[in-house]
Amino acid sequence: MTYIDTINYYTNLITQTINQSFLNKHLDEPEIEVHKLITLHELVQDKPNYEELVQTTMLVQIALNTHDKISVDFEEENIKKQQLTVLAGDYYSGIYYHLLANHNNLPFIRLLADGINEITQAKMAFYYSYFNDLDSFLAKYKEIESKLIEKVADFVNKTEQLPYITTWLMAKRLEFELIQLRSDKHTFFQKLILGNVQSIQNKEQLEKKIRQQLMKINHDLDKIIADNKKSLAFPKDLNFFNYYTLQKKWNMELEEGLSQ
Amino acid sequence: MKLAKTYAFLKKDLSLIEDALEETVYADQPVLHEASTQLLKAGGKRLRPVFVLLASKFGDYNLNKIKNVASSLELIHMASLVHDDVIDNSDIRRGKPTVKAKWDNQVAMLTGDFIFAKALQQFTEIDKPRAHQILANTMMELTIGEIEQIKDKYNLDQNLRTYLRRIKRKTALLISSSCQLGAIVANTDSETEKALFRYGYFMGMSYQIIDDILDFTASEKELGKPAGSDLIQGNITLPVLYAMENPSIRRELQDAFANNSNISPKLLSPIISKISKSDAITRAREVSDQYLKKAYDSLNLLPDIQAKDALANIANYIGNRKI
Repeated sequence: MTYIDTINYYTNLITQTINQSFLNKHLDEPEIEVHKLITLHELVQDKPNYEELVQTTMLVQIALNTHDKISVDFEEENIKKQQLTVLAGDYYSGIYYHLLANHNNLPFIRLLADGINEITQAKMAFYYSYFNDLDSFLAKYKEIESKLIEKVADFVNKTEQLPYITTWLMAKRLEFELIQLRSDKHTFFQKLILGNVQSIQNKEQLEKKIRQQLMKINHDLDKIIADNKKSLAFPKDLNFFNYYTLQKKWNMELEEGLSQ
Repeated sequence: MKLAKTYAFLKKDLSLIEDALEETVYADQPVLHEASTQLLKAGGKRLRPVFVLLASKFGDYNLNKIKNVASSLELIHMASLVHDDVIDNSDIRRGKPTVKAKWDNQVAMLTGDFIFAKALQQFTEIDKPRAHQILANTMMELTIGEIEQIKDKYNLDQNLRTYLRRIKRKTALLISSSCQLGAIVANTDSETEKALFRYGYFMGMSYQIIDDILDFTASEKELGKPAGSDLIQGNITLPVLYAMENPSIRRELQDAFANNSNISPKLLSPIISKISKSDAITRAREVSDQYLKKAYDSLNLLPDIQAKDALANIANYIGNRKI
């Protein structure tokens, strides 16, 4: 399967699983972070129940992302949407548990519950922390961004790729946030930075800093690859060494797919 | 008789569960810790843990295992309340400020998710696949019930069936699951488990109907919120359904709901007063009594032990709440 096929397959699977007519009517379709989906698939594809592992981890990620959309106070004109957003997150979490419970996968239920626990604790710590600059903020934010994938990598004993994966996920987060900033869309990430990073006061500064960070992270990715070339043999079935170049191919395929 | 007296023999075990609850929601982050214990400290009847403990008395009563089930169910209930307060924009619960009022919506969302995760972590100590299937199904139904409640808000074209299905999901299933899971973790036979499930289900239905009646008949002081709050929020409960059989009340409600962005306690006050004085209250009470009777009947199949008396006394207490 190509990456496009994989993405389409899981996207359909997840969309069907979370289908709820009233939520569909009032809420936008939840965004599925395809880079996380692909990363998860790469990590677990040699396991017997790999589809379920990818699907349920993504459901938890979607549930947490959905709850991040709740604003500090409800806007009067959007009350029903906000109320349903709360319930949608709960609903997606419920489905993750339901799917795994029906397949008696207690270890994975536990693993994802651990992940939710650690992510909510980390987010709350962020909410009440102040940072001097974006560097120190991102160093901590990496934990939130990649926690679930780190847990899964640990579960399948494939942690050696994590330095690359976690850095790559941060790059993807920053790329996503740049798009949101350009479209004037607010996110939990932006809110945390604008509220808690002292050196960044407005969106223009934020956009500039994110661009600088992206260059730096791409450099870091090159360095991890170079280092690993000398010291780390990747398993044959999971070649993250090639992932960086595959990423470009995948992006091209994605564009081709979208243009069809 | 006070409710707690009906199960006084569980006091020591309930105290251990209280400790477990506090221990489970411990968080290093001070705000998260404070927010998670906010609702815990506000008290509450701990009905779900009580039902788990009492149901377990019909089998092998191993408190170490039962404790995990009892505290998980209370935590799931608590997590849903923290999120409910965001949904309903409620500032007070059990006489204390809600998490969303003391901090904000986002803190409440994170707190609810945190408590939910802690509940699941705790529950995975139970190595019984069926227990997980039941709990997972209950949680799904609970959320669907809440979604349905929002869907049906201000909708006067509802019937008894939609109302009963909603309260089953919203309240009765978590209580029936508490009884059933208590039975499962104590390895009771299947007939006992079924009887306890049925008891919990009928109790839950009766309990919610009485809650819905109290919304019209109790004082603001007793309720901790203005009388008729459910109706003001657009929730069509059993007393309203019955009262709407009177065409003039139905018409008044239709007029009041015509512009549902402008519904105030003052606007609905005369209608609330009419409903509370109508025969809708007695009729709703009769439905609650029918469920209560079924709850008592379910107990007939169980052996005569102290826990059975306590379950009957709880039913008696619930049935005799001041209306």
